[in-house]
Amino acid sequence: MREALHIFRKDVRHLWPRIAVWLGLLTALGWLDSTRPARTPSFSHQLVALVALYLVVVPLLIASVIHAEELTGNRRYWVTRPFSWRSLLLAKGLFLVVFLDLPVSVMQSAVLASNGLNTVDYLQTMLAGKASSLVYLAMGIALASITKDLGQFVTWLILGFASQAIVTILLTDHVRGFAVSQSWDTPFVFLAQAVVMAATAGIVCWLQYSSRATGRSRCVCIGGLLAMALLPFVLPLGAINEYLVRFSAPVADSVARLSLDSPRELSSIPNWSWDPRHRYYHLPIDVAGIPWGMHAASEYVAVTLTAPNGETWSSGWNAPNEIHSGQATGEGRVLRGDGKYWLYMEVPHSFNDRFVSVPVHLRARATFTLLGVPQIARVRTDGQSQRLPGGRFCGNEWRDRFLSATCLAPFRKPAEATLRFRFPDTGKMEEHGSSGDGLMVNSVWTVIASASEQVKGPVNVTLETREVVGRFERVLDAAGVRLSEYMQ
Amino acid sequence: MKKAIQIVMKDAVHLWPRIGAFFAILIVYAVTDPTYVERNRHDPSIFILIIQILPVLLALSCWLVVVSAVQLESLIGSEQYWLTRPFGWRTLLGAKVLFIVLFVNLPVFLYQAWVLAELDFSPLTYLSVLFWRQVFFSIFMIAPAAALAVATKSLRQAIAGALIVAVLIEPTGVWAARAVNWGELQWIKTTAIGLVVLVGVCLALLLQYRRRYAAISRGVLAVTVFACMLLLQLRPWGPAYAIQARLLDTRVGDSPIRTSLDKSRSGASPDEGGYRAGTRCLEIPLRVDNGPEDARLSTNRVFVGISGAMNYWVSNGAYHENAGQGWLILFLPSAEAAHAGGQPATLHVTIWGLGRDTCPPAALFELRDRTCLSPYLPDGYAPFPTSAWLRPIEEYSPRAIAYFARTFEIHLDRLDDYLAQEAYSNPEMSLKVKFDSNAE
Repeated sequence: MREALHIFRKDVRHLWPRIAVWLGLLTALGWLDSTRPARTPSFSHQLVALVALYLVVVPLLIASVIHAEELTGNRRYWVTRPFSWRSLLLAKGLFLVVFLDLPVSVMQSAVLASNGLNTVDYLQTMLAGKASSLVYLAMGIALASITKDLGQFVTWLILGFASQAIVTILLTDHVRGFAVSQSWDTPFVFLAQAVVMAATAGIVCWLQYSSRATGRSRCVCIGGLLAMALLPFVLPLGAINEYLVRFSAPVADSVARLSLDSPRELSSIPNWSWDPRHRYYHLPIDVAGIPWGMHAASEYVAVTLTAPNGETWSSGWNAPNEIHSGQATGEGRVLRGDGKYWLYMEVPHSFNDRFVSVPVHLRARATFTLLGVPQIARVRTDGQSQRLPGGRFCGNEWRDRFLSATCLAPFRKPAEATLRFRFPDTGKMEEHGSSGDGLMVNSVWTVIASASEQVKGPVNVTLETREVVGRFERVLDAAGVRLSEYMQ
Repeated sequence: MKKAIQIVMKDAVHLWPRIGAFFAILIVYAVTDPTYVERNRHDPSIFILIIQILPVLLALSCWLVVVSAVQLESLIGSEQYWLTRPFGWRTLLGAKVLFIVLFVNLPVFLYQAWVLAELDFSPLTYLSVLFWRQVFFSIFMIAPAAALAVATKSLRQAIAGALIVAVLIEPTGVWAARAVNWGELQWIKTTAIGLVVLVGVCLALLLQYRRRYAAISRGVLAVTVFACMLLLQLRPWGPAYAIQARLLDTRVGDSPIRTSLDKSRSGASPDEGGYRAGTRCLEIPLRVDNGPEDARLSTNRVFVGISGAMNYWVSNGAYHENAGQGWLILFLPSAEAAHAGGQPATLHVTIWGLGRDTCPPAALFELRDRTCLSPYLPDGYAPFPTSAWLRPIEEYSPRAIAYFARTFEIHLDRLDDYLAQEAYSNPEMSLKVKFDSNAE
């Protein structure tokens, strides 16, 4: 430990200008973040610029501290010094935790406190975020340890990303079975990727620091990167799905019962799939039993078709099937009460072409997330920001004819958030669902909803949020289904 | 030349991983660009994330190749190995230029030509467009990286330099974009800044390669940065407008177009209102006579001086057409408008240009949200594309068929007759807007 502290102090002396730049940048980011709810909380240019700087400075600092005792080659000065590789690795880890990780936590606590929020209330979320940032930090150390200089380090970063992108693009267009677009499984994919990343980083750091086996370390690194890229496509999402349903809060059997409806026409057929190997169907279904005021969001649907001769085709859980209301956007998956909906499914031509005209047995296992009754809050429209229950903030801004509203929450989004613009004069209402966060690194705030509307008269704006009540599975079982009758 | 080629080959051998990274990102970018690649609804979120990060990585990998290539023969200090080698500074400079042309410009050109061909535009037809895109790409993407590379000793120093430049330029650019909207004449400002960058960078390169005057070169680059900051702030709308008007074949001098107050209409615009906190919207029915057919008046800029009721200059105006009827819309400070509302006023108006509101024949229409996408001019008023970015297809603004400036006076008996109510009066909730002040 003493040796590690010696190396740590040496690095601090050596790198203090870079540490100062980083801390200055973090202070500026923290200040902008802390004032974000009080200002119009839309995405500011200054914030984008600072985040861009952040993305440059952090890798630079990681590379600087690791390359101070370079690990590639056999002629490094430190190999002859009287300290062990463990002390060296510990010193580097300590440096990055003390100067990269800890200040971020301090900044986040300060931002929360400056907005009247208690850090303890958000400790669990902060710790989860901390775990993921430590994994990224470890991967940064691993990449820096297998490179000789900053140029090589940046090249590896770019190549690592390119490999991820290429694998994803190739598989997205050619593999039926990805399902990352669903709402609840994205954290699982990221969690699985984080585990692979942590394992890769651990092995590479151990190999490099203990024996400077650069060749082997690079191979492990490439393998880890490819594995991370492949994960979204090979994860057993069906098993995760069933696990979630099994261990969820119980939902009554009467909720969201499914039955096949007689053929009807879908007014506009969204172009959801261009895979020439599949024929897609929108089967009309009835959904009954959704409790008043609640919503049911369609998650995964596994469809099995059995032909009269006993031949069976099953889509599996990972297929892009879903139950929808006919809207082309992702919000179409949210069933807002009992009514007539559609089951979207893709059937391979190899099965479809032979049995399209004969009666088949359809069995669809559909999973849903039940979203509770909404919490509704009025959003001001006078250019002033406001605080809402649960540490949320909403702000609004006028630009010419347009009123923009943005709502923020610390760290976590509700399961569903909707901004509603009501125009009493015309009776018109516009709804806007949850929006993305944008490129916000280590920000306390997550954008839960953001929208802009042209306003020509009186307007009332409300924010409606819902949380998950439970997850459940329903089965649609129908015999004698002729697919040809449902072609749109 | 032989020596230059040898240096290029040596650099290529040395930098192949970085060149490979740039090529890989360029290929990924080409096959996923959302400008022309429609995506499936079920695209995974990771895919969308990749598309968002790609432009940053593309720029980064491009700069890495340029900086690394230049710094292989470092120009800082007098103990560099290459000073003892049998080649002159011209050979070295030529080799670096050749390297960048071969491994950065050429791939980008091929990517752009490929995209055009894929979208059924003949690259040969648009050769001049592709050429100008290369020019501005080189000026804004390559030249700054090369300049930083010659003025610094290592990649780390180059990154530090880039950060300093970014910190100086970014807020200025953001502020300027908000304060001074050049609209369709932005290309003139972009070209002027491009010329300054080109001159500054060429001077720095020559000084460094010829004499290795690091301090002077850094000074030249600093002056260039400050000149760019200055240019970003300038508002010489008049000269820019004169340049633009001269470039067009169609001239509308004093001929027939006439603009005047349309007294047959009163009240406020039925549709095109406008609301800004702390302002009142002045909506004046405007009549435009004798304009060419198949064209409509388009606002470039409006300067209005109001005398009589209040002495005030407005440059935030716009002209809108609704059902064939034109409206001049201005925003006045609430307090001053309320004070002067009951009095007569005279508006001294200077107005605009004339635009055609259609896509060019060669445009891709309706690929996304009925946006007009074209390989030709991202900025519909420019004689050549000034975009520094790699994408060869961009949203197309309607091209102007003629420019003209009109200065005329409008006399209003009562300013109030043309003022819409404040955007909102109740801070809690509602928005009260009176659209037709004459109706009550």
